[in-house]
Amino acid sequence: MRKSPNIEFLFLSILLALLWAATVTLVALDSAGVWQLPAAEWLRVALFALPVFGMHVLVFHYLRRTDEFMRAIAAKNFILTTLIVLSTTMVYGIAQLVAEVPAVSMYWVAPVFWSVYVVLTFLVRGSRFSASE
Amino acid sequence: MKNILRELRTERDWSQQELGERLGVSRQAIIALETDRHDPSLDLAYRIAMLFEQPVEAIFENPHRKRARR
Repeated sequence: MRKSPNIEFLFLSILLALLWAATVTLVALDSAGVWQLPAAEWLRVALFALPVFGMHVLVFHYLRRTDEFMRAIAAKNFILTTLIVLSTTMVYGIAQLVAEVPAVSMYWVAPVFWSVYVVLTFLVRGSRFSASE
Repeated sequence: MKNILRELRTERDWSQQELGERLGVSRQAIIALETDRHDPSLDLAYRIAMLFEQPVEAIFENPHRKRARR
């Protein structure tokens, strides 16, 4: 039986989140300091980058496999998420320059993006760009 | 786009899942079409018309025709 693109997307994105968590744990619990060695620097970056790029490939794969309605919903979510995250990060960046706010690493943009995206999946019900949907 | 998809489906005793499978779309897409939360592409509208053996305009209300009448 052909697997549902939605179930497949959910399963693989959870798998990537677990890979991300495992990488963070591996680096954080590195009592021997192996991951802190200069030689391991780029390996560390690659390990963190893997789930991030994996997620993007997964999204592209999902958009290709799913039907027109789910694709339209995903595109609408992407646009809304991008607008929210772009404006929020820009305002926060300006606040960092002109006001006393804690410095936040750019690293957080991707987790914030996906968090906003997940929240929007519960709110966006229709494919049209009208205020009621 | 208002339509009579739900009526056509229930006349045949098909579930939303079943109709989705016949059209090659998800159950969510059928729900969205029936509740007027998604305008189908021309390709999907023709597939629906072919499945129910009716012209597209008999299934989907033409909103432009309605506007022109006002």
